[in-house]
Amino acid sequence: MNKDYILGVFKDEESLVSAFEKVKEKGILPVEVYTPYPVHEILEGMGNKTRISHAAFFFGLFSAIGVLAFMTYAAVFDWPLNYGGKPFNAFPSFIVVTIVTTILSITILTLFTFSARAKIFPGKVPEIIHERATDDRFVMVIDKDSLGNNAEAINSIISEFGEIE
Amino acid sequence: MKDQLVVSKNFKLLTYVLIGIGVVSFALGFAFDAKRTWANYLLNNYYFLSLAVGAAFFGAIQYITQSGWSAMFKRVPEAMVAYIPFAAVFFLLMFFGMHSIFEWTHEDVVQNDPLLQHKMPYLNIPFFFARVVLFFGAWILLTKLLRKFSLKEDEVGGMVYFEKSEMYSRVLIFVLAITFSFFAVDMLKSLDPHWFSTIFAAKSFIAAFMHGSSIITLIVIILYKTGKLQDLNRSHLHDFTRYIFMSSIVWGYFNFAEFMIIWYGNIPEETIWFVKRWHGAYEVLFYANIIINWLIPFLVLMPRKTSRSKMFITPVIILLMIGQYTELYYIIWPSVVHEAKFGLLEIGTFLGYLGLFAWVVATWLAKASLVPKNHPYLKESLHHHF
Amino acid sequence: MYNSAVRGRLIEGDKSLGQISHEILAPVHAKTPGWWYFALLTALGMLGFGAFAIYITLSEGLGAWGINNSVAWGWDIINFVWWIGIGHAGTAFSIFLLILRQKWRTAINRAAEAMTVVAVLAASLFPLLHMGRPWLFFYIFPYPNTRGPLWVNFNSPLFWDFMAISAYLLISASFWYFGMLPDFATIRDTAKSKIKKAVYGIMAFGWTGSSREWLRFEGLSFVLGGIAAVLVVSVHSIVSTDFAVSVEVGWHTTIFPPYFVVGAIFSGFAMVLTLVVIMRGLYKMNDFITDSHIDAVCRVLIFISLIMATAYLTEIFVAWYSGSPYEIYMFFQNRIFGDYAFQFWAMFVSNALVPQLFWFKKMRRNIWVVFIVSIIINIGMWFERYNIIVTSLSRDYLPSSWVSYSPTWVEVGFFVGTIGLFITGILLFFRFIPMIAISELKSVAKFDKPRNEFKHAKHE
Repeated sequence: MNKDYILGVFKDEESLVSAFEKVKEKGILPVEVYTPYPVHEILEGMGNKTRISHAAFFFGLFSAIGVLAFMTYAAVFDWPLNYGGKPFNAFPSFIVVTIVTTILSITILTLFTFSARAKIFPGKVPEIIHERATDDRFVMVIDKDSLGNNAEAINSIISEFGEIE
Repeated sequence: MKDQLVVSKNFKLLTYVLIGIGVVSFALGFAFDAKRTWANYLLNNYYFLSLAVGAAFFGAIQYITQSGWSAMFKRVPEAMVAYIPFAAVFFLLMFFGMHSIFEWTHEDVVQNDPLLQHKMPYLNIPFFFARVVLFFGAWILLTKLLRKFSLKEDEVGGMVYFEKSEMYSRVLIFVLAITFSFFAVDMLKSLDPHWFSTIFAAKSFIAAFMHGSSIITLIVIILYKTGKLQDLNRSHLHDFTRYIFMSSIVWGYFNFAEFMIIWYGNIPEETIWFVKRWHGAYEVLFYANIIINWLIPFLVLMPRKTSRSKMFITPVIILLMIGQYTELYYIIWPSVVHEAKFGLLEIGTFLGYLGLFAWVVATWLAKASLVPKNHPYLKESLHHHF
Repeated sequence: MYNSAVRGRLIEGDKSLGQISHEILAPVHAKTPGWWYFALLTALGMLGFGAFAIYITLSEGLGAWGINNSVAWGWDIINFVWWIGIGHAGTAFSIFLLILRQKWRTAINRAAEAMTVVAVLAASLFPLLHMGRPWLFFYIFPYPNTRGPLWVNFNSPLFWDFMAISAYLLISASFWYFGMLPDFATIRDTAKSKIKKAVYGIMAFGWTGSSREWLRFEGLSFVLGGIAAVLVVSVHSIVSTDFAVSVEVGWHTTIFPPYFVVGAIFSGFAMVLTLVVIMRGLYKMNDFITDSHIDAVCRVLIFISLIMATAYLTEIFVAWYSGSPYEIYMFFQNRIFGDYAFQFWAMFVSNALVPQLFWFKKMRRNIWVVFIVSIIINIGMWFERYNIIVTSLSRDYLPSSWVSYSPTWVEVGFFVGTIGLFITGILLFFRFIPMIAISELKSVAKFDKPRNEFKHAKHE
């Protein structure tokens, strides 16, 4: 399709992983790998890291503190009202709302983070490299320029396990 | 022979020494402060029984959820379960301390108390011990059967014993759910005979499960350190900690639910239990319980990395061992001893039981191959990875 | 790795990855079958009837309902709790089974999550309408206002409930939607018609399946999974506090939060079973939802049913043990042997006894028995809520305020309307959305094939 890239197309996970590891042994990292489902060897091998769970933790921490602070402000300082003899600072009651609101904020904020970091958002036009990558093909994209004098070797690895397109 | 555990002489000697310390502590305790010693007796009985029952539940859960990953560790819960008959003897011997422990055994108190008279059909000594005998009988019978199937499977192989085990695991879970609920009511809730709370039994049950599964993890880690069970990997640890993590959250949830509803309803006959426990040292324990049994495990075991590392898991488990002790202390002491006393007596008696428990577990681990031989999920367990 | 000899296969018939997407997407790509229109019309008819009942409620006020001063909560709250309970299946399914490493969940969780979203939507209508002036519902939300600013009562379980339901609706919907992105992309890339390509293309948010996307997607699922576990437990616990924090007899009991959660999961799983059996029959999904899947859900139901039975017995036992004359009256003279004995025993028999049929393999393999039992459980769980709400309210501490309660046709119509809404939602789901999570199913497909053991040699 594109001049600068080689597409290795594989029929199953096993061939993809074997080819991927051989290609990596040659010191070449594919530009991107497209799979119909997450393949852990690839996710680890591509060397990307995600800190989305760390982000989620801090979203949770801040929203928990924020919500508790807000309720304390509203019910204790701003307009204290006696509800059935409960103390103004009714901590056990506050906990309940805090849990739910924290969960809600974590979810919403993490979704936005995901959207921003993975660039998945409404209206995005996808660059479809291979039509069947979301169906039953595993596609490895390799930059031709990065090959140097390994081109032959890479070609043979790919054709050993799959096809070049 | 790499799958066969041989208990070293030193270890045996250590357990004997610990048991000796326990016996001496009890002897001195009975001589000087009988009431407090009986409280210790109840606490330690319940403590180690809860570990064994938690382990039995853990083993059964693995069968009914068809979990493959844990197959290679199944001897560990089996060995812990072997403690139940010992606990049975101890609980029966409690007969001699009933008056020191339970208020409802005092006839003069009951006579002037319509509520306790109402509860007489349930809370009376003959029926109490009938229940103890019945519950222990059921537990021992079922766990012995499961152990037998497990050993038979090593010899014979095939699916017959696996299916039988699965069937009896379901029965065991059912029996445990009912009986242990009543058991917790008998041993802990009836210490405050006027007080009632429906979630109490469930809370005790989940506490037993949490501490049982954490001790299983601890034993597995110790065995790994001594050169056994070398196929233990990070994925296994992750699954173990997932059990601890989840049950810790559930425990926290039950505890909060109980407290919240009683606090909110604010009815004297319910709040009395907490009022008693909101003075002096007990108030500290109220918060300490939550921090030890929920907050710390929750924070430490949440990240993926720490939940796979022995470095982090081991301290949490040791903390949880303390957590079960403080929780029981918090339940038992205000009702039985009233004053919060903690000293050499408590430490000594606990060490005694610890020695016995360690001896039982080690002996029963050594009785069979450490890794089951023909378990259908064994291969899956050895290569567990996710 | 995965021992299919013991557990049963995850997918029947040795399918290739292409076949999996093709067969699951068949209903999306095929022409709409005739029965679908028929069913949709029926459902819309029910929905219309419900809308009419709502119109009556709004124009006449709550007096159109059978509720009164003592029994202020009737069918509306019963149905609310019932629907919310059913709405717990989706998240519970995905989460608890994820924690217990049950690979079979992959075939069912999409349907369960879809059900969740529709059920929660149906549930949220009831408290909304019960407000009397639903257009002012935002008064519940604590926002700076011109009334003082007078804040809401943070001690009120009704406020907690409002927060919990809104959060649950938002979270379960987004959880479900984001889980579908890869599958929408598959539809986009396999669809023939231009319109379909464009519509699903927009819905797929530009998903391509690159490793960067998958990496973050996995991270997201991990976070949302952990959260949803807490959510499932907290939402229904909060619903239970609507009852438990009061000092009403039969309501004020500490076991209520977990008891409600377990009950919710129970009814949710039963509804999932009903739905899955229908789905399997109508769309010939037998290869993906195999007998062993049905079997597994049935086993879970036995287990939960036993917990329910234990909870019922605990409640009854503690009612006696408490020695409180009110509690004893409520449980023994009112519920078990009294005016409401029918509701109590309907609940007890269908939730605690009937599911015990599943101990027998023959029963679990008979699809009709499974279907009927799942329906019985759904009905039983409805009676449980009736048993809790109406018995306690109609017989409280003051015998002078004892009344009886029966619903009017408006309440019944409203309920029928929500059932119509539910069926409509499910039909749309069947027609336009892949009813099984394709990408997840593909990722477990390899476990059926023995040759895949190679990869474990390399790891750890």
